[in-house]
Amino acid sequence: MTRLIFNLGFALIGLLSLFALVRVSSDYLSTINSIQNFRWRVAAFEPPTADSTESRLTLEVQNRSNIDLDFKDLEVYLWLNDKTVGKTYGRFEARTIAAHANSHIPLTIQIDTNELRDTLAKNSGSTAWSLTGSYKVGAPFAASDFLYRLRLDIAP
Amino acid sequence: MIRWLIVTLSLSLALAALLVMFTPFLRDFSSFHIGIEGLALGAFICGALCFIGITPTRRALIALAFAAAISSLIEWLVIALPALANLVPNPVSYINLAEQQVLLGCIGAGPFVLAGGVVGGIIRARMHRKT
Repeated sequence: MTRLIFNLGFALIGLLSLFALVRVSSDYLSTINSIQNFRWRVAAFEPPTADSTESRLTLEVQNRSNIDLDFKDLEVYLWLNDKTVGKTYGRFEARTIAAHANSHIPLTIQIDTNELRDTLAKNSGSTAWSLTGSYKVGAPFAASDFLYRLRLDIAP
Repeated sequence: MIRWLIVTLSLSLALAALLVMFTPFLRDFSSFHIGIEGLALGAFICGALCFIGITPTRRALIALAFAAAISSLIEWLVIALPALANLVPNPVSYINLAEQQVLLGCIGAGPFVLAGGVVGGIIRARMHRKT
């Protein structure tokens, strides 16, 4: 009887430890997995007209991880077909997005009016807008920031 | 032999859980974490339980060595998981990090496991003398 209780006690220690290991591994993997893709989305976009100098854009980003993350140095380029017609010129202010939160990021894109006019004239009728860019993410567990590339198509 | 296996496996898992919960790098990812005092106490108890649970001393020493090796391997596997599962673009840095953290865990827990083993051995010897 003593031997059985003794063995059961050790088995219980093993099971509890296994539970802790699985839980930590699961939290760790889900966070690492979630920071590989932040699921950016274009929430709002005002297409510039031929004489626009600015265009407003709102991006939505999801932080699906279990930790608060700092988003920094977001630079966005606006493309019309295969030409860059504007960019944000580094005006993005760093912001912290809480764990499991969505954030809307309003941006103002400075338009290269000449390029836009030329591209609109060359591609009359077909306007495929898209965005490219880059941003950095600071996480408490990493000494240096992670650098990401951004690429989004804007639905007409 | 069955008891030896149960004790060794349980203590391996217990030590691995302690090491993983102590690992500074993993602290931000999960609410399951402990400080150095938790690791020291847990490692001491593991060492003591090993020597109380297994006789003779030679077999207990072998069990403790196995538990230390298996728990370090488990800690390494947990930290290197994103690299092993191809989740990250920089797998080598996770492998290197896992090695560093395992070394840190061994340095942190090792002396307490041994101290616990000595105390456990003494307790076992006294219990044996009484019976």
